[in-house]
Amino acid sequence: MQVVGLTTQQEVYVASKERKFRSNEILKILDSELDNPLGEVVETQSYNRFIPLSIKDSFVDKGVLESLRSIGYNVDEDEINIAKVRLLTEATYPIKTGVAAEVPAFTEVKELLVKESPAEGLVLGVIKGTEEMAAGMDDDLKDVAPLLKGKEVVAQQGVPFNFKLKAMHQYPHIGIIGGSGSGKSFGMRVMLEELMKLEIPTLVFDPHFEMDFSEKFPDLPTEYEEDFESKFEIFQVGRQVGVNFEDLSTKDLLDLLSAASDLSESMVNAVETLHNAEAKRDSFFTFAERLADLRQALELGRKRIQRKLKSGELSGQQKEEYQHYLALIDDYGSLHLSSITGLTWRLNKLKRHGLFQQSISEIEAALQSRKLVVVQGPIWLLQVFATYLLGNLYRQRRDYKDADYSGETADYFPPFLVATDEAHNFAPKGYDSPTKRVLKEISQEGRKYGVFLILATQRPTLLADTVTAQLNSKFVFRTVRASDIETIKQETDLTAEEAKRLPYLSSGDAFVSSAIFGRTMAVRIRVAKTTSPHTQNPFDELEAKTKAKEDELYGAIAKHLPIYDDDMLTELKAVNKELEGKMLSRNQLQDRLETLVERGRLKKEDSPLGGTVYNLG
Amino acid sequence: MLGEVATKLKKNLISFNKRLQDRYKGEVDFDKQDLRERLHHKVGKFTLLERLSNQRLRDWLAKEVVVGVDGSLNKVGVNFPHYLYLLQALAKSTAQEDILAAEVFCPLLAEVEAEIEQFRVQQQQEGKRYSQQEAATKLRTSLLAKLELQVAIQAIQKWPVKLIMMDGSLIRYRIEAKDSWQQLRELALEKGVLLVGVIEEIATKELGTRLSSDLEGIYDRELLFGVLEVGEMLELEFKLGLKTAFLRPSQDPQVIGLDILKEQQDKLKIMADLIQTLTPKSGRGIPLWLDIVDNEVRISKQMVESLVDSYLDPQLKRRLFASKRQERIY
Ligand SMILES: Nc1ncnc2c1ncn2[C@@H]1O[C@H](COP(=O)(O)OP(=O)(O)O)[C@@H](O)[C@H]1O
Ligand SMILES: [Mg+2]
Repeated sequence: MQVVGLTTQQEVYVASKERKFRSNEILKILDSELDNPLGEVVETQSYNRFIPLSIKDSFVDKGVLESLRSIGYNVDEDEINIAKVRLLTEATYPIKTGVAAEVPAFTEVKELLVKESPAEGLVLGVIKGTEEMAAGMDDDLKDVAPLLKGKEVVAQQGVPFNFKLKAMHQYPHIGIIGGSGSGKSFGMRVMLEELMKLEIPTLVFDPHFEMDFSEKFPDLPTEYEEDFESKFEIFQVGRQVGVNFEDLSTKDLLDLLSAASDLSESMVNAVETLHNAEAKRDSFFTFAERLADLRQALELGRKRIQRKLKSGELSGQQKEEYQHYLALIDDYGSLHLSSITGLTWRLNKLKRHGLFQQSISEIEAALQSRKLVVVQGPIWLLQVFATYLLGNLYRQRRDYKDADYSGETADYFPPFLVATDEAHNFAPKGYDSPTKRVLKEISQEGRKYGVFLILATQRPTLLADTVTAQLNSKFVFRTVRASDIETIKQETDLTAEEAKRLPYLSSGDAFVSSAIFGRTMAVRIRVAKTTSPHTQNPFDELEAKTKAKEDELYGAIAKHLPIYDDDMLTELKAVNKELEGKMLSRNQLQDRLETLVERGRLKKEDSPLGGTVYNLG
Repeated sequence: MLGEVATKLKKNLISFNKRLQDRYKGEVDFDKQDLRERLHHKVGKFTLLERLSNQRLRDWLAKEVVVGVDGSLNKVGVNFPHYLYLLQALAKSTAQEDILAAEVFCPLLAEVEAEIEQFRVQQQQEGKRYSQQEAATKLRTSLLAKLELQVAIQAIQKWPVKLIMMDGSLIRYRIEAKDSWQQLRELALEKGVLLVGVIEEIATKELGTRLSSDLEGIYDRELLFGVLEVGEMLELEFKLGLKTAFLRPSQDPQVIGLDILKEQQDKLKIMADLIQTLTPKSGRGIPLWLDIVDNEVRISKQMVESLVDSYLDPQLKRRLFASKRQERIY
């Protein structure tokens, strides 16, 4: 390897005939006057001077190349590999052309590459281009990040990429960006596994119902297995967890209702007027009833109510009711019926989804015991709930820290991380949303309180700028969309060369642009130890279900073969007995039999007794 | 202004073309058949060459290699004696091995100055007068020839060589670097290594003289233009100790020349077959192998500049080699 061509203080070209270069590998340039600076390969090229271009004006024809090969000269081997190498720190003057270059020893680059021991940090994968120097690594760095190649788990290649979790105190928040299928969810899973390893309290919003850690990754060698069963809990909004209505502040309630569907000015006004109106905390019941009564009252109107009361035709209980209506009209007569109707609809929608049935106490408890909490639900409900949950938990943590800062005692609430996919839905650019407010606050202030974000999105362009700007570490996976690449260029320190490579990254490869490392690193995310419960291809699933059904039927009828079509009713009873809980009609049975014939599992013949007979295939 | 210059040049070119046409009028219209017959009687025989099959090539070569030799020359600075030449010679084997030799030639160095003087004195004794500048050019040319011969010699010493292909006529080596040439020649004969020089630009005027007095003085390349069929060769002998052939290995109507040692003339056919086999049909008639070697020995202008920038003191470089002309911006 040798430095060739023109050099600058920032960049050199290194050429080699024997050795191919890898993007992102680190090379040592042996210019002793500059203390042998280190550089990173940012672009690689191999070229053969003889193919496929013409040399001068003669086109190289195949026959001649063949003849050359026959006399021992293979033009293909006459290849030159060239790497553009960017120096890690600018040199005081240009590198000397012609000096040699070599792969540095691990000790020479350790400080650059390893910021944290695997035991203390998040072991997320390997640093690309470090394969050759990995041999000299310390033992604790070896074999901690197995990789996935195709469908096979292979040993770690290169130096592990250990994310220094503790540095988040200084450089908070992580972004995971990449197009669909680029490896975001996979990367997120690995990150969460590592957080569980360190028992960091983590709250995960899971709109895709994919973050379960009970199932081990298929074919993962046993030495890498890890049991996370006791380290995480899954809750579904409206099933195991929900909002305790009595704890809601009016602002919380407004957020919830608006997340169900946008609120008009006068609806906001109505909630502010009606919530906790009787100088005590409303339960869901008291609030819903107040809405219903007021709606009734407004529909009747003051005049009708008064007329009814005067008419004397009301019995005791009815009279009380109408007096109550009148009082409501007196107090809230200025509110619009349409606003009340709208609010009722919103409130009912939330209730229907079980939002008000449970509380968040189980989540609090799980976080307190340093677990990872997965909250699942459809994305809109998740947003509703997240607004409340995050606001609540963040407040608890803030209250504790603020009290702590000012020397008071307060209930302990631990620092925690918040992770979510589809972050652009939670903190959209260009319009306001309740979740956006709380995420924005955490992104700006969370560092102080030890609350950190991990936000994944396939559309960085749609993520609120204010939030994006606070993500101090960004994992950028394959991205094809030009507008997103543009955003990435602005929001990270990826070089033009790196940005150019974004559309071509393999799934699981990413650039990490992080203030913690101070430079962009190319990494490959390790294989996850667990797998999402629904990775089965839906079409495979369809086939499997059909097959299972068929097997069941086949099992049920096999004993009763042969079945004559004129005697089908007798057999039907017997078959139905075998099929627990299902009853086939005669036609259905015949139908199924025909299907089995089609699939070659049965055969259909003319019966010697006349008619047809189904028998073993 | 620019237009005016161009118009004048255009006029000049038109009249130049006319004069060329006048001069070549009689000859361009040679009857091809007639010429071939005369060549056959008075010069040598025509042979039809073969393209060798891959199997034939392998059998012929057995375990040995073919070597290509070429040199390159790069100049920094312009006028005597304020220039320096970077000379390189390469012997490349088909087994992907290289032998490279390099020299710097600069008339500003005391020993080179002395050499130039010595050369002039020597030549003067033989009755030839050379200016310093001409002497320097001669020395430099001979230095390059010597480098090429040296790598060829080393190749024979190091590798199992079947054949060496040199870029250019062998006679050039004999004239420019006599001792090294002798050494190579003897070594090649002793070890049975075939030597062949491939001449892209034939500059001889041999054929016309032999044919008839009215063709005397016509360059061989003009005379043979389009006269040989593709894959045809015309053999002759006129250089001391060498056997020469003209051939047309590609569709290009221009012929190329081959020089081989007279002692190896029984191998001419197979050597020519090889050359023809290694020459792209639609190319300009030079074996690809030599193009590859040429490509490899050549140093790009950019490379030369960066080498010079890296290793020459910039002050000295500017004082000695920068020329006003180079600073001009076109
Ligand atoms: N680190 C990795 N190593 C190997 N394959 C990966 C990796 N990450 C992702 N993949 C492959 O890419 C597929 C899509 O990844 P996924 O994380 O679901 O993409 P995204 O969430 O960005 O849409 C995975 O199913 C897996 O086959
Ligand atoms: Mg995904």
